[in-house]
Amino acid sequence: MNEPETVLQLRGLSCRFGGLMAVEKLDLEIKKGQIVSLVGPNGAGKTTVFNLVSGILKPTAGSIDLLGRQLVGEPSHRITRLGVARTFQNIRVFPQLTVRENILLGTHHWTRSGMLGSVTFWPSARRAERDARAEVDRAIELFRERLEPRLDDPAFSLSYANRRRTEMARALAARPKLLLLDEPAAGMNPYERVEIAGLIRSMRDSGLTIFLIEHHMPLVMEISDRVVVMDHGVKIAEGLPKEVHSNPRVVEAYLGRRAASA
Amino acid sequence: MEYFLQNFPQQLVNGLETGSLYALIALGYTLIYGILEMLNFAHGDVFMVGGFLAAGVTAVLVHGGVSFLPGVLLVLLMMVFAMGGTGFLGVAIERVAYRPLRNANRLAPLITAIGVSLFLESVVQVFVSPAPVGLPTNAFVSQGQLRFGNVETPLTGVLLFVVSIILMVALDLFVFRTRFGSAMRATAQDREAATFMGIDVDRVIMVTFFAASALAGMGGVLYGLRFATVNFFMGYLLGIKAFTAAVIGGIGNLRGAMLGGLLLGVLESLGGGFISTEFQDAFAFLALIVVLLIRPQGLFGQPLGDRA
Amino acid sequence: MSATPAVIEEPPTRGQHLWQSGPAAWNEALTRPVVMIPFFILAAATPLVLQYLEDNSSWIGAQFWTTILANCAMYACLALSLNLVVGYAGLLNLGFIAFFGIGSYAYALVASDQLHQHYPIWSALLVVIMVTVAFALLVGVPALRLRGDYLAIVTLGFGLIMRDLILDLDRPPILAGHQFGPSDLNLTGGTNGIHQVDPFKLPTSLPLIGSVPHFVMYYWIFIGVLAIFVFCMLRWRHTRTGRAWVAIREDELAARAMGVNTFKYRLLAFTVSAVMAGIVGMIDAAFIFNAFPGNFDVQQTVMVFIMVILGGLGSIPGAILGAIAFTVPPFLLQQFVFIKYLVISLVLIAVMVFRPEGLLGTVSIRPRKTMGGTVELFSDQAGAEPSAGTQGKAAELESTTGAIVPEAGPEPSV
Repeated sequence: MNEPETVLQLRGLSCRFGGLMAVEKLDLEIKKGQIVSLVGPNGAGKTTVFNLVSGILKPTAGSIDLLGRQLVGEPSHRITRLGVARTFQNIRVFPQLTVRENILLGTHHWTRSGMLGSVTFWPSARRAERDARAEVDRAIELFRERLEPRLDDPAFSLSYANRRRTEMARALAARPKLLLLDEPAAGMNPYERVEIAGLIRSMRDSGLTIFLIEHHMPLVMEISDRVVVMDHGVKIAEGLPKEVHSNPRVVEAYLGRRAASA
Repeated sequence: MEYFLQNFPQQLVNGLETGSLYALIALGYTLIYGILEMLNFAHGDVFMVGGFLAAGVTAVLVHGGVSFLPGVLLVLLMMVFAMGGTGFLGVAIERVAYRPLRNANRLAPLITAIGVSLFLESVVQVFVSPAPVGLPTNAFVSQGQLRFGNVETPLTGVLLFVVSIILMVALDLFVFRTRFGSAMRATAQDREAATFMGIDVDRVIMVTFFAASALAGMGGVLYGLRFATVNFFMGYLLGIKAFTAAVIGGIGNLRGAMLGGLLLGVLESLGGGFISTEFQDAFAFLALIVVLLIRPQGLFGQPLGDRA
Repeated sequence: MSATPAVIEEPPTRGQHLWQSGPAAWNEALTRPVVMIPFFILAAATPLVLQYLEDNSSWIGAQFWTTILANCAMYACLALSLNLVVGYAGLLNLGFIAFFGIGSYAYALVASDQLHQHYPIWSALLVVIMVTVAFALLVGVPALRLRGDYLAIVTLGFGLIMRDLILDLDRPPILAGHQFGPSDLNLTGGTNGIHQVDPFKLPTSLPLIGSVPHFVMYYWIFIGVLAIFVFCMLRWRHTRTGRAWVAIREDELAARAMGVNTFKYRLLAFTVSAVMAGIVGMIDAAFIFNAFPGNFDVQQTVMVFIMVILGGLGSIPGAILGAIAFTVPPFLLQQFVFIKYLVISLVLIAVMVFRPEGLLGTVSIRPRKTMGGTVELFSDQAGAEPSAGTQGKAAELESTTGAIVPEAGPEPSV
């Protein structure tokens, strides 16, 4: 029986801003093929964890290990090359690029095509472009119905939901080993949330490991293999969704002490 | 070495003089940057306009036969007129050219500022004079020198230094000791929060521009008195140097701008005196590059955000 | 179940659809080969047409007009180069024209009596490229790590210093009392510039056409270079490099998250744009047989800027239109040349205030609260890190990018 390998390992991860400990001594392990959700009230430090893993922020202490490779100190563009892709809480698609071009950006780090090559129609450059465009086709597989007719529309003209889909397709096109989804269901209606749940599961089934931040509890409970709860920068609970759900400390963090003892 | 020791005090004094001028203009740069996060390229040209306003006043009064006025009164008139004129010019520029782009991305107003800069230079070049204009300062200002030891400096230079220091102290008091000053500082830190506190941000910005431009205008007057000549292009180079001074001190930091200006003046004077007069301007540029490489936040600025 | 059919709207005609689609679509349409190729053929044929008209009527204006058009083509090349660094990559290079000047002087130094070197065209070109790259790296490597506004001031200072250098190097530099070089060292000719620069060795007559005067030859060279620039920029825009540039411009943080090495690509854009300007400078020096310190004037940078801004940042046809708009009228209105920069600066201010996208621009500079009209649903929703420290840090990270990007409203957290 093969133990799935560890994809992400956080050890003693800390990040302080001046006097504030945004993340304090966080230990976390995510194995291949898992869907792990990071939850917690506002200000808990969840997005900070994502920023630390994806290299936007530097930790003040601790280590981040991706498949055995240290990530601390690496610039974010190199971390992406090592296999981490992410979406952002407030959707950061490139407004003036088309949907197709946005998704093509996802392929940037694993295709090789330079300025000289594109100008001289060099075979390797042409091949890279072809591969990238083929990847777009694969990346929108899960969103084909919505995104295919809009591939050549500029991203700023898209609806909110379609922008989110574009951002996800873009992250998928990066062929990551670890996918960080920051509040993928925010602003969605119930139908769309069902769709998102299905999407996330499909992504996992195709081999991805998923780390997600989400506020919508039912969705978290439904799709997560494990749930990690943070509050004020500290991990206060971790385990199966059901276990965490009834943990009094978790209830207290969200609703206050009275509710927990109620 | 002998040469160095002998000439050092003179160069130092020269440097402090030009430095105080740089500081005066750097203050304006830093004020505007603090409030709007924008580098007002046209600021140096506001200084130039101040110089021309001063020249205009002297031309009108001295040649109009009002030379019976005591020199002091004439100088005061020049200062008031120039400061007021440039103050209003600054407010007008902000209102017309920068305000429409206030919420646009950071780089848009810079492009506009370059346009305003060229516009001011062109207006003066076309409608006033493409050639340098002299000020008849010997008609009303003492041309004497102040001497101590083997250092000498014209009295107008001393005036430059003294007036600049007075203005800098006055500004410092205004910003740090008055209610309006704290409104300015609040707006500089967080414009949105300031509006929540009931601060009229538009008015604060207007006053900031007035103050910054008036300081630059005064710089123009002092320059005109000291060097007895102004030309339409003088703001450009001086603007860049003043900006360098502001960066050295830490852009957005008032006291940093003052110190940065004096420091740059001294550095430049020493470099020019001992290494090369021709490439004097390059020293300012070199200083800028060095500061931006080693300590981009300047002497007194906050460390800039992490770029992982 | 009502069976009344709704009013069926006629689908827009192709022309209407194109008009409604906005600048991006117009640019797309105008840069198609079916438009570009006839344009360049027409442009190449123009001097011949003018000459024909002159030979067969009482009109004399062929040389005058061809020279204007040559100038126009030259500025179009410069506008395209600036468009690459400012429009595509979003970097404010305010010392841009210095690279034009560097190119012209580099060529003049290896193709005149100044240093008694007379390189043929291709080796001279190599020298020009190497020199321009060297200067671009010198300025770019330190400056491109900084915020956009700092880059602006550093490049502005660079332009000024280069001009001073060019003016002062007609004698050996004296540093700290030591003279560097022989007393008759005159590198740059000071205020006079370098004269009697070799033109390129070109045929003076062509089969079928007959004799080809100097100005027509150089017009064709500029048009040819323009065509090459347009081709290259189109290719880059539609492949990985151009996409990376636009991504950096639109949202540097997200670009980095997608694996783009933003420093490398900024340096690429900066350097390539500089080299393009340098090559144009070289051709100019050969064309007018001179290299002047005026080539470094900041007013020239502003002029190329207004061409790009009016035409529209990020637009290739826009840059060409802008170049035409600001070279032809000044030539025709010679009596107003003294207010040329006055008018130009006014137009720049007006365009920035009223329509910063210019005619065909695809870069959003205008203040924007939301992206494209859709409301940002959770600008104040859950997930905001409340502490001022984090907010400040996030804001600081935002501002360290310096990208030309629409403000998408308050950012709750990065």
